[in-house]
Amino acid sequence: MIARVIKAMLAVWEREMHEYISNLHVNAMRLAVEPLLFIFIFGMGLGKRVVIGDVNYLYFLAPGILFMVAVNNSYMTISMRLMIARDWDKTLITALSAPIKPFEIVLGYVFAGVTQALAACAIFIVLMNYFLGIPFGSVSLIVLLIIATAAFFSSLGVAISMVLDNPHHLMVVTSLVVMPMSFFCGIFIPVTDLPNWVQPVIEAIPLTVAVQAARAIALSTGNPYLWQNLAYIIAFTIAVFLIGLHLFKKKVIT
Amino acid sequence: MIEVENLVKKFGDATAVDGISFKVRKGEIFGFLGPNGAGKTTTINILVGLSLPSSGIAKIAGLDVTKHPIGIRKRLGIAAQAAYFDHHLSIKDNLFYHGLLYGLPRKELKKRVDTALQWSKLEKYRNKKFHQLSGGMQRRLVVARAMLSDPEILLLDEPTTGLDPQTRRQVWEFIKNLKEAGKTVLLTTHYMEEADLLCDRIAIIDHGRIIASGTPNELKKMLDKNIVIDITLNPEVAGDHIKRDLDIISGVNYVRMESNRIKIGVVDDAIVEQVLKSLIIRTKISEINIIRPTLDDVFLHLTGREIR
Ligand SMILES: Nc1ncnc2c1ncn2[C@@H]1O[C@H](COP(=O)(O)OP(=O)(O)OP(=O)(O)O)[C@@H](O)[C@H]1O
Ligand SMILES: [Mg+2]
Repeated sequence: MIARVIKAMLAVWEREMHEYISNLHVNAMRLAVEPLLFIFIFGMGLGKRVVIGDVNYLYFLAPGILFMVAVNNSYMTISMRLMIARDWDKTLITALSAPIKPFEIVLGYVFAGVTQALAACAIFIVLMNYFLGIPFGSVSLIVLLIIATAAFFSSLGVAISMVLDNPHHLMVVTSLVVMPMSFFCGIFIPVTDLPNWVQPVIEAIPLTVAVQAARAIALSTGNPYLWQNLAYIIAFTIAVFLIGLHLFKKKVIT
Repeated sequence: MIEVENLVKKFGDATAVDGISFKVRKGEIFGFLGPNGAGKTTTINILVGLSLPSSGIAKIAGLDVTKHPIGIRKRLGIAAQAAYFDHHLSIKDNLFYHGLLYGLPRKELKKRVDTALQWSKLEKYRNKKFHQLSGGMQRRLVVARAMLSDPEILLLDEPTTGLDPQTRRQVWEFIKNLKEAGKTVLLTTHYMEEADLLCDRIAIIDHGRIIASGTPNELKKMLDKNIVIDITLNPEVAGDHIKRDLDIISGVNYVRMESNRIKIGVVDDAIVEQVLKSLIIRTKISEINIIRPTLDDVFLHLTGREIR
């Protein structure tokens, strides 16, 4: 029973990974080029003039960009692929005529999103650490945060691709919701620099929680709430996953 | 193998399937014959679990389709009417990843993908994308994919629509072979001759209802009383007396005569014989045509309109 669920989920995952890898030349943009651009422009250009607390801005920025990488390599790929599978080539229907449940399909997509994010983040960490000597502290703890965050954003990708019927709408949601999230959730500037009234809202977003927790690990500033932070992100992930699954069933099964 | 009872499917106000019941026995080819919008695809979608019935019961191999979709889909191969393939993957990869969903072991699966490509005569195109194939090639691939898991039951939704005559005949051969291999087949079609040729039993469906069902012969027998003998006489011997002689034979429905051409409607083959005998004695016949009812006529008779 469990074996079948895992096998089915992995079949979906493998197909998605196959597609991802066969488009690696395109995905590499998001994988490596985009975060490096941010590092060069903000970290090494503008950042030379900025000090946050007593921390070098590049050291402050890198853990943030790391999570931007995680978001872009989970949310973007998964929402686009699922929108295509649901609305354009309709392969979700084909998949559902095989012995597989909606839960397993969604899980396969989310797992693929997490894998893609982990791969991209690993490349980023290695490049940053090797060439710029940027510290990341305990990488295994950061990996846990990346997994949780990527699972959250993959699930969000599932939910959004089930609601929207049009790739243009997806672009709008992405540039109005997801992109700003990566600008405001403490990636470029500390949340404490934001106006007072938005701070509680921003701090409630799982991405902010992840970025701040990861930064604390990277800069070794200590964080007594690490496990609570992780649990918080996971709770949100489960909620969004269930919403995505519900929408999936509603949309695909007529 | 397939039991459907009082199945209803509504989309909002529209009723796509309006209380149909039928049974498909193990090892038979059952045909769903009906015009566009009759509810054929909707019924198949319910059997697959892609659509939930508004009411009624559908069972496959004794399992309720709404309760055991996984157990059922393991036994099903589906060739959908609208072919859905991943446009970013080659057709070979499409087949492979579809087979993987059935939990087939990789080695075995690779072999089956090769066989499926051979069968559909698409080996040369294995690395092409689905949309790069012609319509007929796509249909063949869809049927090939349905076979991939070697299922007991096949649901073929218009497997030959859009195929050229030669390929259509190949698919017919193939479906006949499925039957010989002991598979159960439910197929839908608009083509009377296809249903006639392939199916053990047929249900004629229109506006979401089954309006007649039975073997092709049983259905045609419904119109047995409508055998038409179309005779052209040698002009020298044509005359009204012939019409009069025929009119008095019991079992002759009507006689229509236009110069030397006579159309005689009779009720069965015995009367055909009697009519011909009586004509041969009295006249010289230059041409005889005996027109028996086709399934097209059955459809026309039942619905008052042509199927297309
Ligand atoms: N998802 C849907 N939403 C609303 N109406 C639908 C839906 N699917 C089918 N219908 C309607 O149900 C009716 C039956 O459609 P169906 O596809 O079952 O016909 P069909 O017999 O397969 O026809 P065809 O020979 O054209 O394939 C049609 O009137 C169609 O418009
Ligand atoms: Mg149809």
